[in-house]
Amino acid sequence: MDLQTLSSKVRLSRLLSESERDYWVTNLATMSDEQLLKLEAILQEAQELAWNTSMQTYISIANKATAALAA
Amino acid sequence: MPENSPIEAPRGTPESLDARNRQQELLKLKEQVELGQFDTMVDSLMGTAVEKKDVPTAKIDAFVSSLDSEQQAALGKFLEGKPADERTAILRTKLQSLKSTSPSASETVGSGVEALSGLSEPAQKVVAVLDKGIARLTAGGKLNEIAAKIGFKGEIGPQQLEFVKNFLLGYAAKLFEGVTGSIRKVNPTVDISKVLNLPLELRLMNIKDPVQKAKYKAAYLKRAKESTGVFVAPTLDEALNPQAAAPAQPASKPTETATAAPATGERVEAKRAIKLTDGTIFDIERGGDKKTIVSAAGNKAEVKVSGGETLDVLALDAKDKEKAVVTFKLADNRSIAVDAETLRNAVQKKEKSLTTLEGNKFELLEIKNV
Repeated sequence: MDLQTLSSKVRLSRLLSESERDYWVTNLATMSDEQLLKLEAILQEAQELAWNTSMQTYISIANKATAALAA
Repeated sequence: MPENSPIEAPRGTPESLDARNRQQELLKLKEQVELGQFDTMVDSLMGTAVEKKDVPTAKIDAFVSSLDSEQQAALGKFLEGKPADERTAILRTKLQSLKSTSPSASETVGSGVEALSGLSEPAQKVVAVLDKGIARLTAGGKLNEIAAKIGFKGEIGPQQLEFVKNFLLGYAAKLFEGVTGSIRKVNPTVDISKVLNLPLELRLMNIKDPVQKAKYKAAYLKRAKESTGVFVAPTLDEALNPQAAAPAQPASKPTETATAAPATGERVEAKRAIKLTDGTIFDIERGGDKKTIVSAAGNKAEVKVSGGETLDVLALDAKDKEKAVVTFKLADNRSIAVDAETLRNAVQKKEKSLTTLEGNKFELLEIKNV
């Protein structure tokens, strides 16, 4: 398990609050392989929830629109 | 909105239910991770003791060095006397109610329950996990095992178990340094040493003089090893002045003592009787005081080796002292056999060098006759 990749996923996950992200990143090194796989699976499932994907699309569009308006 | 801002689906939607399920799974995983860390700590303690019976002292020292008596008392008092589930529930409730407490409240914490009032949220979780882990160990009877490994002899009572609990809490607190690091990050004003059961070295940080520091650590570890009940850490004064702090020793009778150096030589078989060359045997009970030699003239001498180790006189010929063999038994079960004539000469002439029947020599440091 690549801890660096998983750490990035934790940082980018919308499922977690900032303090939760800190917690998981801090504890990755002490987790077993099985636990790391479980965490990755949970984050992946959360990312693939329909609500998240559509919200992601919306936010991207909104951010682009904001940038265009500002320019 | 930042790319990774947490977002929630509208309540009541299938998406919100899914997200909540993920959160529940995360909580379960978190619990597993933390309990796993606790198990690792226990395994390392148990494993070390099993693998190398002659080494665990050093490991145990390391564990003991993570203790702080005041924090032990605080957490111990808080956890004591309540069923595990209740303790956890009470703890959570109390900590929930303290969420609005000022972050700097921990700076003024006292002992016992008050000591927990300044815990940041991550620290609260650590304590809750420790509580759960200790409860599991207690239920599994492992605390007794660990108590034996630490060195408690005989029956393990409630006081000993309490010590072990605090011992583990101390070590676990150290184990969770990563988490305490997060606490510092979240709230730098939290004084970890006041809210967690802290390592000895944090206590040592307050002692600047390296000599004092070494003395304190030695006194601390010594006391922890010797403790058979509730462990009370030494004060700095006690550590620096062990003579003044030590309990008064009963006065000895100098007129009945002679002090000898430890015998050097081969081990010989222990003999627990007076053995004369003519075959007469006097057992030790008839001989009276094991540590006192009584000559035909009524002279007495108690023999000790330097360093306080006492030589038991196992055999002495009081009648035929010219032919008698005197056997001393050392505290480590070695025996030294000396003919009574040699011993008599030593006592009378104050000769300091004695030769055992096996030809080994040992030296009397001081001889005093009554």
